[in-house]
Amino acid sequence: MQLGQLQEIEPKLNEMGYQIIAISPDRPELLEQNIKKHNFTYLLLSDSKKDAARAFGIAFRVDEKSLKMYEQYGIDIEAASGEHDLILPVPAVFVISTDGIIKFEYVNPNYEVRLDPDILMAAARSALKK
Amino acid sequence: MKVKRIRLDVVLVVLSLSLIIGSSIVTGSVAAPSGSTVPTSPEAVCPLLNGQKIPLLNLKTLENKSFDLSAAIAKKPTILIFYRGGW
Repeated sequence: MQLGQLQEIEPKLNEMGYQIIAISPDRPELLEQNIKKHNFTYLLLSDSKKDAARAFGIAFRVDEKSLKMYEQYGIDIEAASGEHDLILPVPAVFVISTDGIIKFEYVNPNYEVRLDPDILMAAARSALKK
Repeated sequence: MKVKRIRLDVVLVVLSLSLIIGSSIVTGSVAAPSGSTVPTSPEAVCPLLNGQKIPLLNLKTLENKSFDLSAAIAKKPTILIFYRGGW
């Protein structure tokens, strides 16, 4: 799921009673930039120490090859997070009920394969059933 | 037959012990400076699973203020999204 696609279904999710929270490894100072760049309307939080990514078990250390590739694209992940851990999260989506239980999750190590918004909608609807 | 079965048990114990020792050596070699283990490829992650409870966590808002994620989730069902960064 592209973040743009998420914004398309955001009103429907809100109507169902959901809040959307996005977590980025970028440091807090860069969040505002992200919000403007992507026109985020939902809450964006910084996980620059990657505590959340680790706790959810989706953190991984970037290898030398990928790091070089990022550099070629002008991406400096250390500058973005302000940490020297070279850790990134695998892109992930969790549907969580108010008792803190994970009802549905999508974690794909291939960041190019995104969650279909229709599947997220179905999962979100199903998670509300008792 | 009985003797054979006991031997098999012994073999299994030895095997599992060597596996435990072996894996601790392997995980030790990739341990993060902080002491926690972070896999070195996106394919090797072990995410929390469906039905599991999320951990207590504090994140930072864009104003650099502490944000209690668990408290926020307790108020409303949540779609939580991890992405790789604004770049």
